[in-house]
Amino acid sequence: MHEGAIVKSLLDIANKSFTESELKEVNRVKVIIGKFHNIVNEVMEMHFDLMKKEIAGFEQAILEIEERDLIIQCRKCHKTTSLNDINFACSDCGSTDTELIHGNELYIASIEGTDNTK
Amino acid sequence: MSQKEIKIMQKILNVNDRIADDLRTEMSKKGIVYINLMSSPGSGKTKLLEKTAGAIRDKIFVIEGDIQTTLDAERLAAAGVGVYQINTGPFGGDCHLEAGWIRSALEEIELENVKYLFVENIGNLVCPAEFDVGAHINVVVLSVTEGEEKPLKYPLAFRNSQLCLISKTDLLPYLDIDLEMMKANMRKINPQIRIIELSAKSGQGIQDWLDFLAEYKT
Ligand SMILES: Nc1nc2c(ncn2[C@@H]2O[C@H](COP(=O)(O)OP(=O)(O)OP(=O)(O)O)[C@@H](O)[C@H]2O)c(=O)[nH]1
Ligand SMILES: [Mg+2]
Ligand SMILES: [Zn+2]
Repeated sequence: MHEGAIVKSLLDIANKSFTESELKEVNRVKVIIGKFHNIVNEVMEMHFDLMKKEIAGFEQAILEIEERDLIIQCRKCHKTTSLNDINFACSDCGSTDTELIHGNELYIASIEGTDNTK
Repeated sequence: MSQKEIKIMQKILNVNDRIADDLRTEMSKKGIVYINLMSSPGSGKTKLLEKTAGAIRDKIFVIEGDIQTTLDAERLAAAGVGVYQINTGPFGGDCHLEAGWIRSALEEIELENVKYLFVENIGNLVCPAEFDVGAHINVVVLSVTEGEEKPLKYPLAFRNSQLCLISKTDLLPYLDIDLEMMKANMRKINPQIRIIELSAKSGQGIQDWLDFLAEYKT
């Protein structure tokens, strides 16, 4: 599915940061992914483990995925609702004029590694 | 040697998103309405485009996305539609189109006098929803044979679309589907979504779709 394309994009960004940094190698790449995205973590990891071998400095890196649950905020009463099933209505006042404040994330948060300083 | 963390905090698809925004602006400047059609395989995207091409006065152009084959493009060309085929097979068989590929395709396409640019995305309800191709309007097509619960299973496609076309309504007499439930499920995901029921076979609802296109302002 689309996990491959997502991993490719995140590794491009990670590699750019890495080359601009003082790091000697990267051992962890952290991403934040909302539940809204139908992304399968195991498939992400599989692509990550394949692609990292091709990038100098990432061979030993692991992918750390922080998941975000779905939370909406009502534009009328401003209450937040945590969604178990996907229904974009405020649990308090019933309004459907709501905003998805968590769950739509698709971010690369950081890279971690050892640096060259002794 | 010490462990160090470097903060990045960027959208993973930011490169795609930037190209998509550029394409949107470019099409607006040209006065072209740009529409991205998404659905699972076989919901009737190509058939709808054939029907649309036959019914609309304005010139349309279609960028066809398929993993393999040029069959859909051939059908559209036979209907007299300008069409450009993108096959993702050679690029690893990706199940969606990305903004960068559309941009490359557009370098080879003559859009003079074209009023509507359509992308027929690859038949799949998961992946295309993730990648902004820069369209003004995302349209998700769901045929009446697919089941009421599909919006709940593939929420992103319904959330990221402004319009849902419920297709193949000519088949309703033969099915048990609860159309109101299907629509309620769409609105659970996206309370603002416009819904048009149509059949490219019988022609029912096609005028509503054409009116929607005609009324759209970039
Ligand atoms: N009964 C009926 N059949 C339809 C209608 N629209 C399309 N079909 C049929 O559904 C099948 C699939 O239609 P296509 O237009 O090829 O669907 P598609 O979404 O382009 O398919 P992919 O590009 O492969 O994802 C064909 O056999 C069509 O003739 C309709 O309104 N009514
Ligand atoms: Mg088709
Ligand atoms: Zn409320």
